[in-house]
Amino acid sequence: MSQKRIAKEFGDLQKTPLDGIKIILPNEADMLQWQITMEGPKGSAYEGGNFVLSLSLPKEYPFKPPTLSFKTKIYHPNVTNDDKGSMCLGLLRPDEWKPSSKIDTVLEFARGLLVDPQPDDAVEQGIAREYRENRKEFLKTAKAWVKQYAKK
Amino acid sequence: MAAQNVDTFVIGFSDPAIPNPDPIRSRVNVSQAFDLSINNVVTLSTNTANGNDDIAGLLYVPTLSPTDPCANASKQYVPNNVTRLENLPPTQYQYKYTAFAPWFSAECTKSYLAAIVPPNIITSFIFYQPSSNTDASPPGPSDPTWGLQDGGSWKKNNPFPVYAIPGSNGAFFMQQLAQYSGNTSQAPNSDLLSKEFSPSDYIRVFSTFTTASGTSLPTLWAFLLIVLGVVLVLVAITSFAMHFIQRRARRDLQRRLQNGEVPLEWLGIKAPRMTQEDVDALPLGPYIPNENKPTLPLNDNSESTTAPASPQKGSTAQQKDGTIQPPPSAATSPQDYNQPTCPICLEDYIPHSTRVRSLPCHHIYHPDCIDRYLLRTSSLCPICKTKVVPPSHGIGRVALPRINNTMVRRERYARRLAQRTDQPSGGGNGYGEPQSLVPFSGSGGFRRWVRRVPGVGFVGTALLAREPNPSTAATAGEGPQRRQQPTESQIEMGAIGSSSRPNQRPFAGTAAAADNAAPSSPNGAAAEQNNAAAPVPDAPPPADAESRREWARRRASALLGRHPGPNDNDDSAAVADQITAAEPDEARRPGWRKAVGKAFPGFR
Repeated sequence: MSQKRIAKEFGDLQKTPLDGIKIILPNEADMLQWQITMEGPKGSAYEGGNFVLSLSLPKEYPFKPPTLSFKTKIYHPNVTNDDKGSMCLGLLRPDEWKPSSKIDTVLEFARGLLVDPQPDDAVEQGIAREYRENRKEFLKTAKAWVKQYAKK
Repeated sequence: MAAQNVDTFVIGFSDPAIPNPDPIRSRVNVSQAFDLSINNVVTLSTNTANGNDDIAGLLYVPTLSPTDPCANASKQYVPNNVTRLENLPPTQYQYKYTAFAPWFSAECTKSYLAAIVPPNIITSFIFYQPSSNTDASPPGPSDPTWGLQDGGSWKKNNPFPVYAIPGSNGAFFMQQLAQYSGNTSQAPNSDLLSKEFSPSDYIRVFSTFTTASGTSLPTLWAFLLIVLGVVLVLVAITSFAMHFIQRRARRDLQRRLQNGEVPLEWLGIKAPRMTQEDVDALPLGPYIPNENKPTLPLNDNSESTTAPASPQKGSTAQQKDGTIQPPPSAATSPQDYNQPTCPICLEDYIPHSTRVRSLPCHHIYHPDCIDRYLLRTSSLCPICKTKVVPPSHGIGRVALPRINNTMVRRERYARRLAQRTDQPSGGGNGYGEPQSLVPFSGSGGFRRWVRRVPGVGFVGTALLAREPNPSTAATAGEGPQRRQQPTESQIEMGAIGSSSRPNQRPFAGTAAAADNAAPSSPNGAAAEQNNAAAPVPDAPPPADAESRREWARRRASALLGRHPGPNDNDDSAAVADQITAAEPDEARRPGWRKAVGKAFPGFR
């Protein structure tokens, strides 16, 4: 069942792509690993950047949530600042995940998070504090990181 | 083979060269000769060319070549008439020999070793250091005095074991070897010996070694084995006792679980799975499309508030909160809503043909999709997370998990946590009492505790709801007053109150409560639920956007009784989550701890 649903969701996303989001399968045979290229939303600190994300779906999908991680380094309170780049998305927590949620929702949330970081749900407390207290400095660093790591 | 002990004595035997020799060898009586057992034997080399043969033989001193300076140097230690190889029966008669020599210099020791030709004629070589005249143990095998300036290779190159005995014993043997080298008449006590032996008989010194590889275990080992055995028995008894205790604890928990005394959350089970029987009992029917009807509300508040969202999403969530109605009453049916697609496989239903399973919350699914989920994953509706088994069903009807030791431990821990709350709550220790509500809305120790571990809030709610009592309504009536200051406590109150709402029921905590309340007075319970639900809309969101989001997040997480995030230290962690956090991850436990845990259940 999971294969069928994943194929359907993938097909839908290819047919009607989300704004600024490109999806490819790095390995044609493996439907469970998606590679996503997300443009930094206009007006956000990440504008002009191209972020590569990896979405991995569990075998039990849709009963278990997928995991989303940034492959491109990003200065963001909700993304771990390590080589994993795990993204903290409430939607993706095992006990909050609903099988009726779809991947396009997940991706839209991720993009929404770029527009509007959630310092209260932060995984990087230092960045969150900066975001709250010194927005100017935050924007400067975030933009510098975009230039350094996420140039097109 | 390391030697433990060497026994040296005098034997007499017939000359094998004479016709019809008497093959009997006899040990000469101690009173007529000597018999010396030495324990202070040091094994210098264990190279045994003769394999498992006994290490025993007639003692003799190898003869050095007269041109060797050592022959002269050894004269002070070796008497002239000492037993030589030629004083023993010739090698063709296959007697065993043991060489014996003083170790006074490395050069001369080499000469002595080289004098054994061929090397396999002896069963062992015994050295003594004439410089030492005590019967204390000689230096250990690695002592430099045993070095021959060849890095120890002499030990390998000589195909016989080499032993060392104390110096005074060696000197004594040398003296004896001088006395027992000729025929009977030259030996001490020859008059007595001549009665027993014929003049042609050999009377010689004989050594025999007891080696460590013997069958009798040394006493130290025996002692250690006994200690080990005792320890093993103790370990077995302890293990057995712990298994027994744990088994009793499991049975006890199973019984209490069946009686509904223990919320499943305490065992770390947030959503128990359903039985096949219960799944089969859910209504199944053809899909009837009804496009004019509204889409069933999804109660999506958790998603849009706890999950990060764009600003407009956040605000719609607020509106949604306001508009969420209590679940459809008994009059509605799945056909009253437009649900054209199965949310699990995302396939559209074929009108009037596809058979769909509808859950009590009126969400419909393909039976193939939902049944497996209900049986194996969770008994909560995948869309709205409403418990599928009706609460009145009672906990006994849910497929009870097999109780394991982890569950026993969790339950004990949760019970302790819950008991701890009894003490600081002051007057409010009797949950059944209406007074117990006071610390709830006030700022007593209990409330503080609720803030810390709000999961217990559910327990509290469960116990409160057990009393279909007007005082519950009275609490809800406090709503308007509290509206003046929308504090955390108010939010919590709202959350706790609303957790009794049937559509948002966090599963386990309230199950027992509703179980009790529902059969006794369904109307009363319903009224109570409505009343309890009242504070939710009563608590308005704070004005500014930042704290409003925070407010919504708190509220939603309180409603759902979930931990909002790993870094979140605030109130919404449920007991179950706290226990889960305290529990070491089974997969990360090292193997030895798992093994110890198997042997001693209850060991952590």
